[in-house]
Amino acid sequence: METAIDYLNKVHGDLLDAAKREHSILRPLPERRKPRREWVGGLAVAAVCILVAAGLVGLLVRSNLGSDDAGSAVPAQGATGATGETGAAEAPEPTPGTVPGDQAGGGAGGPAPSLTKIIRTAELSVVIPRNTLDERFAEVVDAAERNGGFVSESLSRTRTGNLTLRVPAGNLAETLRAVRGLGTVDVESVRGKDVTANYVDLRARLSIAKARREVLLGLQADATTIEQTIRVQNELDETQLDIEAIQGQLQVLDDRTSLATVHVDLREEGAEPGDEVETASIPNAFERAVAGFVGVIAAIVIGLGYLIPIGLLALLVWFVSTRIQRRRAG
Amino acid sequence: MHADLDDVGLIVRSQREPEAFGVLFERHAEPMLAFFARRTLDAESAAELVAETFAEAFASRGRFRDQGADGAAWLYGIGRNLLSRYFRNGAVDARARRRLGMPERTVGESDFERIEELIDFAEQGDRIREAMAALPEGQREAVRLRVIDGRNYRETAEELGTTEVVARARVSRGLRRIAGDLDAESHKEPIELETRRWKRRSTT
Repeated sequence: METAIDYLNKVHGDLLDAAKREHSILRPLPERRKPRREWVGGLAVAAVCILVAAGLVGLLVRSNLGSDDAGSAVPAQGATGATGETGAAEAPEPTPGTVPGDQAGGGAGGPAPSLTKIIRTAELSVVIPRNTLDERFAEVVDAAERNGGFVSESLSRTRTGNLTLRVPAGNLAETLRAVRGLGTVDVESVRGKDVTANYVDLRARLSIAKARREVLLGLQADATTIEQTIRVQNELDETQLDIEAIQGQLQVLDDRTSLATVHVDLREEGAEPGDEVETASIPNAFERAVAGFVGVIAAIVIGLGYLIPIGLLALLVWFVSTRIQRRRAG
Repeated sequence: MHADLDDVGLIVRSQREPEAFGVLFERHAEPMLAFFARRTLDAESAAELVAETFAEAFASRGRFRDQGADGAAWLYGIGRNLLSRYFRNGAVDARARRRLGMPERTVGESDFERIEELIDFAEQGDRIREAMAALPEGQREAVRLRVIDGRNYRETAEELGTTEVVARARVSRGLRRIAGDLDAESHKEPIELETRRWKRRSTT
């Protein structure tokens, strides 16, 4: 520094010393932190973009999977609404104490009737044309009655309806055929539960109880004292109760095996299954919120599964192309 | 190395290369010393204010933003704040210098008269004379001998019948009071006027 004032020369030297000290320490100045903040902000924005992209991909994938699975989905059945319920007065009388033949065999009578007992349940979901619900609903009732059955439960809404039919097991196939003809079958399932062992067991226990009752009746006739008479009477009462309980169970089995149960869902075109059932309520909203939250997370996870390998591949391509460019430039 | 940069360029460059600030000091230290000397009428205080202003500017240069403002204006703005504080407290701050580890220098014998030359008492004389009437007799006589008659400190001390140190103290205290009286007026002078005055002086 060119000055005649020594003081300024000394201060100039002091200032340069301070500058050198700072340079050697490399203390970061406030504005140097800014690029780092911008870098962190950029990273956060990139992470959010990736998550959103993953969520969108996941939703897309899930919706595709959902449409593939729609054909095998079984909608909720057996609605027990309080409206539009029809009676079941035409229920046929069960035949307690008898051993019917194979109901599934369509009532084909053979010389040696089989003891096979099967409970049959069918579910049918049918999509019908618009504005035909009332007409088709009546046709289902008609089909049940025509096949010797009845409607045990029914629920009719604006565009959808549910019916539970009871028809003789031998007429199940014919009833299903009639219902199928009402529209396009969306879902159909038929299940059979073999209860033959239970039936045979109950029949055996009934025979034993009846034989026991005969013995007790003989003892009651031979009783000479009051004490003997009371004891035999008590045993006889218990045995009679056993017989009635077994007969009741047999009657239930007879009913369930002789009559098949058919759940029918009717849905007009464009109406979603169950979309008219939902009612606005806080628990309902909470359930939907939780389902939505889980759904979004699931979608993001699915989406990441697609994006990560694609991203790695893109990174590899970028790395290789950069290397090639550098080699050419070099 | 950085001499081709303007003031703003030097300040911005010094944020990455601290040594560049030395060029700013070379460019503005002496005009600024004159600026402070005219306002304080005290060589020692003016010199310290220059040192503290540059130390403060160096320490806070990281916050400087190039938004079209003049680099010298930023520097003198810091100086004016320190000058106000000096008039309030009667002493020059040394916080920035301490923070940077810079030693507190004393003004040597030879510097006193050189700095007082920067004050240009001839030009300031009329204003000073008006303010002198309010001074205590001892200080007024000391200031009269030194400033009006242009005697050096040795002659002033002999005239007053005291030592040179006491004579300098009386002149210093008297001038500080006068400076306080002139403060409001001198504070309004723009930097450009100071710079012009400095350039005129340098060419003659």
